[in-house]
Amino acid sequence: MNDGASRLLARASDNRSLTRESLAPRISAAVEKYLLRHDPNTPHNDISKFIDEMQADDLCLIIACERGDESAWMDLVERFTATVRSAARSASSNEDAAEDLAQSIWAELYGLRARKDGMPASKLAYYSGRGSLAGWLRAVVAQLAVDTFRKQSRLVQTEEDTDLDRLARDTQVAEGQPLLAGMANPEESMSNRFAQTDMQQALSTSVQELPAEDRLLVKLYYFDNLRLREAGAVLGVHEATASRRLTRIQTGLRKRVAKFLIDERGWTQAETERSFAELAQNLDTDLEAILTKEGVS
Amino acid sequence: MKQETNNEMDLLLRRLSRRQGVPVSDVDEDHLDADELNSYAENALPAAARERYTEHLAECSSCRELVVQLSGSVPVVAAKETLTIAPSAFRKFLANLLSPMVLRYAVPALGVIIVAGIGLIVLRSSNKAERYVAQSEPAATQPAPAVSQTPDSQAQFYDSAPRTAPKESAGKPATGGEKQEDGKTTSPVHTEPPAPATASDRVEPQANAAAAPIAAAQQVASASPAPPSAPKAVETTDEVRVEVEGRKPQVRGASSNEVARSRNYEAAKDAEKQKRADEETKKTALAPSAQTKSGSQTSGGAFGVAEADRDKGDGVMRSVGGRRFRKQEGMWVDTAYDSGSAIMNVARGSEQYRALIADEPTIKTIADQLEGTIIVVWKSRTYRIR
Repeated sequence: MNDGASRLLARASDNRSLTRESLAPRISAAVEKYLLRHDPNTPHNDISKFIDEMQADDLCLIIACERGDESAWMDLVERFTATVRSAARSASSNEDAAEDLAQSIWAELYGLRARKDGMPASKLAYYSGRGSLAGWLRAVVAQLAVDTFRKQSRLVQTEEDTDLDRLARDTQVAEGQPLLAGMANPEESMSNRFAQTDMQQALSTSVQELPAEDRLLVKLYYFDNLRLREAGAVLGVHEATASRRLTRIQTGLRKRVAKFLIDERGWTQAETERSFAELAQNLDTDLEAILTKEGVS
Repeated sequence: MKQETNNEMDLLLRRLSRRQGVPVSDVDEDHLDADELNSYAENALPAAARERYTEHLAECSSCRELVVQLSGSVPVVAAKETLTIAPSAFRKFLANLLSPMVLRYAVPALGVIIVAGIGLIVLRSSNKAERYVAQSEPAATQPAPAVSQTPDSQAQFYDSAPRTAPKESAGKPATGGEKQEDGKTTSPVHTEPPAPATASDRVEPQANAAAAPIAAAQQVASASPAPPSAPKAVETTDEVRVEVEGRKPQVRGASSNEVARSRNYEAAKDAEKQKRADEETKKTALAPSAQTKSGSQTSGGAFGVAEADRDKGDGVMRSVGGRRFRKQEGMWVDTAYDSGSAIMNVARGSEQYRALIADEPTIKTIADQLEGTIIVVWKSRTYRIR
């Protein structure tokens, strides 16, 4: 670990007069968090590579700030004031709230509270040096903004929430109706309702059985309504790659759903195909209903 | 079929998302911290750690929301987008430039414009060539003045009257029928002798002032087998050209640019040659001082007479020896003279002159009564007596 700290100090353009002994605990904590916690037998080469990929300058700056280096603090404030302000503005509804949030962040970073050992309880201690300091600051701002919003949400039950609850109930009632609304035949309506329930369960199960990354893509695209470019950015892939992957997922899901319906619900292959075909025939009707609901909401 | 299948699944998934909603985890300690979120968004995690966090993100909408925010504000991504602005704009420009619409309409239009431009250039160049030929043809008949601007070639000044003769004669064979005194055409006569001996003609203007030098010059010139000819430099040039071309018939109807140009060049060259020959002749015949003096005086006198004749004598008619002469630019020109006729130059006092007047005494009468240069048509032949 000391060797890794020495290499990290050597890579830093400004090591802030830090020693490898001062860096070693932070590096060790990061290795423990991201490698050894889930794989205690992580190879030594992987650990060395992990250390060599850490942000040397940012980590030295943060550790120097923790150690009370005034010049390091001045550098931190000078270099990242704009970053914090920008992130606060993005996470806030107005300029005053953004300014309050930014000030809160600097207070959290400086550590107005004291730890048990008497040292300030600064958030700087949570920076591992794995990602960039600017990105970490933005994440801190975002988390703080979410926490602040949650606290405010718990205090105030808005009328809007009541409306949303009512809308959700209406939606649930509507979605309990058969796929083809307005069918006159009750027997057929009942049959379709069961079929739809089976289909929904098969689909839900199939999605949960997807690999984590595919499931995340489905959640990002369908549940969070992100665009493929945005979903790809989260996954670290190009938009086109995300699109191809989504197509593959859809194809795989259809097979999984059909298999579930046949194996678990006793459907025949013909019934499965017919159900998908009926679904395809009513795509326009369903899309129209979706658009109508979205317009209402 | 596959697209249809994907559409079905797309619809089912959207419906599922509406029914299930977005589950929110209430367990704070299960959420990713800022360092994990940032490391995930920056794709800076080891593979195993990333897989774990992906599992969490697939289920936790709160952390997913933060990661989405951070992924959209990752500096590297922003920098990439910033950097790709210029290339994308350039690519967009290229794409617009090479769009099917442009290729369909603009490229053919451009091709038409280029073809039209080339055609216009070719047309203009051909017109230029035609104009040049048209200009060079008359210019080809006037090489002498350009040369005769020098004092030594003032003798050619007297030939200003028949300047158009070469051009007119260019369309006729040199051996073409000549007119008799009554103007009727008779059998053709032999081609005019070529010009090598025209040195005597060149010194003709000086003959009036200095007979001895001219006689000497004529003697030098008479050493040449060909009789003197070339009433002026252009004619001389034409004759030389005929000689150079192996005595071809002087069919000069072909008015190509090269012919006109070569004619000019040869005329100038020949005139220069004649001038040098004259100078050499004078040098050998006269003492240097006397030659210079008399030459300048002669030249000046001849020029003065010419000027005087031209100023006051033009248009005067005289009848001598049964023939009528008109004063034209200082010369007595036989009214029967046809400018297209070949002219034989004869200097007064020369052997040729003596032979001529011996055969035709009337010509002597004419030459004695008319001063200066005389163009007389006699027995189907035209003589220029100087």
